[in-house]
Amino acid sequence: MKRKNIWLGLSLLLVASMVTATFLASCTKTTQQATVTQTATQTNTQTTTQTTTTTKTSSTTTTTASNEPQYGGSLNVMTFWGNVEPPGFDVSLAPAVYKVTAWNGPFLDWLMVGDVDKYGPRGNNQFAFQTAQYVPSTYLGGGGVATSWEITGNPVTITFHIRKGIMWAGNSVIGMQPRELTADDVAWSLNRGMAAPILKGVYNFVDSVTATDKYTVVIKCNTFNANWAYYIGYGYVPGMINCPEAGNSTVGAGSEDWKNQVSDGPFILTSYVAGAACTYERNPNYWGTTTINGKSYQLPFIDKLVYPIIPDPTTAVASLRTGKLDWWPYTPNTNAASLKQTAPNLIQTQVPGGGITCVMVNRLDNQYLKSLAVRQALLIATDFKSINHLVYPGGAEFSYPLPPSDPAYTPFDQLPASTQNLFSYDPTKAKQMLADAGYPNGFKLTLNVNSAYPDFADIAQLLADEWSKVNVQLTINTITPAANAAAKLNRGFDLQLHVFNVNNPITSLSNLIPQPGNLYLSTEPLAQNFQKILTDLDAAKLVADEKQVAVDMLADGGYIPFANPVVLNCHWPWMKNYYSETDAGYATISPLISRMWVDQNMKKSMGY
Amino acid sequence: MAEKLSEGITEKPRRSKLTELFIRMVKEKPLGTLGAVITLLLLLTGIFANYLAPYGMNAIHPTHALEGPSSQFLLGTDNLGRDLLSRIIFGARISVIVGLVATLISTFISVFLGILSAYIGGIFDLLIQRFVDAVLCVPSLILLMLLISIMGTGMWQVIILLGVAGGISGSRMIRSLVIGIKENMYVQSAEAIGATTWKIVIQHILPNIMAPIIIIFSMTVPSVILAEAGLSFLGFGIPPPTPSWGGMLSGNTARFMIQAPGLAFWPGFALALVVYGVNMFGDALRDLLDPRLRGGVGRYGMKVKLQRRDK
Repeated sequence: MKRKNIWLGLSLLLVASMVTATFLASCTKTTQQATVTQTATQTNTQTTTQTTTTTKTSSTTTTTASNEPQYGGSLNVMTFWGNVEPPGFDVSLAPAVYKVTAWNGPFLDWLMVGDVDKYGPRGNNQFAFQTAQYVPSTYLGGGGVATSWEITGNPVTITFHIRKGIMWAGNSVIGMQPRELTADDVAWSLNRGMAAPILKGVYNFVDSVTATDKYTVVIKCNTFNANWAYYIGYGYVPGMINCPEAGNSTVGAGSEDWKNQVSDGPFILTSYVAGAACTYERNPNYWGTTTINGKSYQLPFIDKLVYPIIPDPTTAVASLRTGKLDWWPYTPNTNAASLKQTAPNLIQTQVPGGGITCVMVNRLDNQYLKSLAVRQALLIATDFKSINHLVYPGGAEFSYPLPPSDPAYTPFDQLPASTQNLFSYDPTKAKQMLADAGYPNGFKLTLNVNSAYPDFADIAQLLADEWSKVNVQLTINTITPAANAAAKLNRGFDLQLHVFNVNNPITSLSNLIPQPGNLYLSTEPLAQNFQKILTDLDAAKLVADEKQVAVDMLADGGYIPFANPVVLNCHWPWMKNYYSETDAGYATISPLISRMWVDQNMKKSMGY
Repeated sequence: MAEKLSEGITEKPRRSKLTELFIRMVKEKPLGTLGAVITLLLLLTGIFANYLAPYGMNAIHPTHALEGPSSQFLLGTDNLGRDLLSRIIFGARISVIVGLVATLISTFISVFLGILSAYIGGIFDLLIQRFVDAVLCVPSLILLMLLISIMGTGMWQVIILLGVAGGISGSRMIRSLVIGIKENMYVQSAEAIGATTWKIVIQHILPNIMAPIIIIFSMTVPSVILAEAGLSFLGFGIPPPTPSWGGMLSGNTARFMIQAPGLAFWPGFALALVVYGVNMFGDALRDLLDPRLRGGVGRYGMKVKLQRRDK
């Protein structure tokens, strides 16, 4: 009995000390996020030029020292999809092709890529290259497999001129010797990529792809697609030029096997350990060069590149904090304050995120949501400012359906007054609008929430709370990602939360295209206007038309958009010749990495 | 020379079995008593959550997001300004419902399958046990996640799946108990005089395994609560915004726990405390109800021990 009492006492003491310690820790005032210059607001005044997309915290600088570049060293970089395993190494076969391109990027060049030397901060600074997964075609060129291209009409033909002297590195595993990359390789890669099962229907606008000589590829199209550069050149499967010998290999696991890959890029894939990392080494025969302070240098500078696989974001943040990661272009912004405190030398830059969360409103099938007045009332009943502030405390920008960096973007304060009013929270007005529409007592709606996104649950909860004030009872239906995808395809929802990539204007406006899952019919004016944009060869007219369609789309209320959360671009100061760019194409960072050099003395002196 | 033990033993006034159990627990099992108190607190909190919680479980206070403990919000708030204390209290309700109902289902299935399988025997027993073997081969969490993906998330889906999965695997234990009992003389006598199977099961077998059943029930509750918390943590359990302790530990807690450690600590502490308490309670019940687990001295021997100690 005595012994039992002693154990009881000890147990209680242990528990009490734990409770006290943690209670004291949790009593500390919670700090708000680091002060940011872009806060959740709909009054985004960003201009349409790309020079203003970068915002910095007080301790940062994006210009690097003008020291003499050094060769050697290594970089550990958390890539865009560094939290998941590579789904394979053959872009044409992988179930999630866009994820493959991140891992293949260091060793395979794209047909087209953003010209960071000419148009970025290291050049004339016309484009910051901080827009995830999108580069306006004006800023493409100079760094890809193609040196130039022309588009002619009647019929639409795109002609690519292939760079001379690009060498495939060869691969002894598949018995391949080094050789020059030719137009035949490009045509093979494009045709193979366009035929990928997962991309069925995407390339219906392409009739044929042929190599007319050793360095010329001609693509004949039955119609023009305004998004052609994205689909063919830099953003989708075919644009990443693969080696035929690797693609046709039957050794081991064939084209999916990392050991069978052949490089034409700045690095060579030398190791893949599942759950750990992909490791790349410098390609000594890479064709690329860059000019720094008037002097030309062979690329890349570093000897070794490592892309770790870190599923847990807190582990990744810890790696960044301790210097195990040199660069993470998409650090979650909730870590800004703690990183500033614990790693004050880490350079942080805020950049726009990759996508926004939107509520898709089933305006076709739901009896209440068919009404424009009801949809607009729901917009007015939504406190966007509060939701954006609570869900994205690190900062967010209003950028729907076009990003601020796009020439067709209309700043919020330049929208028509009637459209601006739709995004001003006024539950009294919303209630009156619903009453006028014939629903004085409101109605019930169901909102599908994908369980894979934690912030969806928060947004849903906030919406339910706000809409209850206008008598709209929202039932939150949390579903698995698979069920979510099926519901989207079949329009089996009243409302559904979804993430949209708004950085590519054509992709964003494609939500107007009548296709399975989208919410507009081909006969509707908005959808018809967009179809015209898609096939318009006139670039200037394209911008004007996009501008109008975007404004009309906002007012239609078919989608309820929340802000685009900013993310942190974090890198350590020993990473030189880097100007805070985050993307030279579609999650394409290898052109940036190949231009970086590591100040190893600085790194050692900082204790890393 | 042997002690005259019987002289010191006095006949105490008869009490009800429940009262006697309670008194014995307080005297002999202080940790179990603490566990019983915690279990009772959990039950009462779950039942009276509406009255105990200072705010609604999803009442949002946008201007008070991620605050630490204060007089207005005793345990602080989460990223949407929801009171943590209220959500933990309502989370207790979920734990009580899931814990008790799923355990009831699990125990019923275990008893039903175990008794029938053991008593009937033969090919029936063979088939049932091979099915149970197959279920036991699959890691329980993987199986639950797979079934939830098919059935969808929700409280009742979680309860049914935890109950059924737990019941199938628990039937093994009941079966082993029944195999021991069915060879007893009184069961054979009942068979000899022509009693039906159901009568034998209900009148002879079931009462003799009631104590272990109660023990199994009490030991299953904390594991069900933990399993539900694990599923909710992984996103397969009770979907938000319904507060579940496991669900409160995942999702946005990982994003904000450095700013507000309370988001991770309080739900975790509540979970740990309840599981500890119910485990201790179950442990104590097992020791008190099952004479075979008391070192062989029996109740008479325990009385002697106590009286020696008092001397």
